[in-house]
Order: sequence, then C-alpha cells, then structure tokens
Amino acid sequence: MATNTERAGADLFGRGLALDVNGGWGGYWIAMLRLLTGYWMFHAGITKLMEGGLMMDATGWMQYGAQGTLVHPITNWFAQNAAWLPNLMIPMGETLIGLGLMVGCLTRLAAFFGTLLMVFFYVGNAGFGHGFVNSDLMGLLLMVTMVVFAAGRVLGIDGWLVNTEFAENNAWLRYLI
Amino acid sequence: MKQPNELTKADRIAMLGGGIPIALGIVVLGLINTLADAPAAPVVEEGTTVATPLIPVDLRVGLVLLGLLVWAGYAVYKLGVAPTADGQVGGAGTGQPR
Repeated sequence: MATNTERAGADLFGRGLALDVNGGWGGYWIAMLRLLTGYWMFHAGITKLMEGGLMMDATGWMQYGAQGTLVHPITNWFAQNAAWLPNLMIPMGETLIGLGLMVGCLTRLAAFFGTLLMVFFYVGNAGFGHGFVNSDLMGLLLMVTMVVFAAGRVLGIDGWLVNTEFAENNAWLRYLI
Repeated sequence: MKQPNELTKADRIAMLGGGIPIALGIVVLGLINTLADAPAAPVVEEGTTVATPLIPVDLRVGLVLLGLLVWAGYAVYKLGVAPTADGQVGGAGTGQPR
C-alpha cells in the first residue's frame, strides 16, 4: 500500500514544530493507532449486527440512560420520534467507521462520524460513573487524532486515493481522506 | 537541525516485532473470534462455563504482552544508544529533537 509523505514543519504559538510521519515512528504509530481504533469500533458494531440484526434497540439509553445529561433533549426526541435512525445508525455506523479506519479508506470522514458518535456517548454519561475522564473521552480523542493526522494516508487506501487525479482536482475530497 | 530518519535494524525489529503480535492478537484473532460469534473470554454463570472463546483469551493477551515487551525493550535500547560526534542519534524518530 502507498505510504504518503506528510511533513508538518510549522510554527505553533512561536515554537517550531517538526512532526515527521514519513516512514518513521510517527507514521508507524499513526497507522497502529488507526488499525486498533478501527478494530475497536468495528467489533462494537459487528457484534451488535450479529446479535440483533440491522436494528438495535437504543431507546432505553436514549430515553433513560442519558437522562439528566446535556444530550438528553436530543436523544429523547429521537427516541420518541425517529428511533429507527439511531437504532440503525449506531450498529451500521460503528461497523462502517471501524472498517474505514482499519483499511484507511475515507478515514477523516469515518473518524468525523466516529467523533460525533463518541460525543454522544461521552456527553451522555449520566453521573459519570467511570469518572469524568473515561474511556468514552479517550475514544473521542483517538477519533480526533485520526482526523488531525489524516491517518489513512499512512499505510492506508487513502495514501493512494489522495494521489488520484480526482482527489487532486477536488479539494473537498482531500478533507475527507 | 535535520534529524536522520533511516530505519535501523533495531527500528525494524521493534516495529515488526512489536506491531505484528499486537495486530495479530487484537485484530486478526479478534476478527476470527468475533465472526465465529464467540465471546472474548469464557462466560461463567453460576459456576458453570456456558460459552468459551474460539481463540483462547490468554493466547491473545500473551501476544499483546509480547508486543509491548518488544516495544519496551526497544525503548530501553534507545536509552543506551550513544549519539554521534555531532550530537545526532541514529535511526527513525518522529521529527522531534533527540
């Protein structure tokens, strides 16, 4: 698979930066994080699909599990008016986000939706029983890391996609990969 | 100052020796176990094992531990690598000063 050359040589708040993800440990680690984060999300989705089919029942969490949290008005509305959407999107989304991350295809798009999902899971922690800094927040941060570093361009399909003529002529696509 | 970024033999051993067992233990064997609809670890209910994983969980954890130990060994090795006359440390890095 293609390895894309990315070198961020820049200035941040007056201090020089030289984070090199071209073939060294930086690139290796970004690819490793992407693979393992992808598997984590894929496993979460595929097991829901295998156990419950296309639709899971998330209404209990949306109505009662997230009660008292900042996202409850949104989750409660969906539970009462359009439960089919999150019931379909949670298992399908997790599976597709995980697949995208594992193979590094449309990684930023996948990780964006992963971030959105993790925001709901994190903010929807009623009582923060596992602490304010918990695994949901760590998952959220991993997803953002995938977006920031365009992780699929290192040892992923995006490394080839970003060099296609179509991607070179369409800047919007490069934001998604 | 530009840092050298060529992979040394130690870098390759650490990258492959650490990454392969971890990817194998978590992702490859995890996918096989998951697609076989087996639990990650034995499920015990009222003292009786009602479901067992297809891939023993100790094997998967052992592979992860092996990979972590390889990375740790590399980290210790790097601590002892002497810089060259111009103050550079050989091998791959992350672009940060060494």
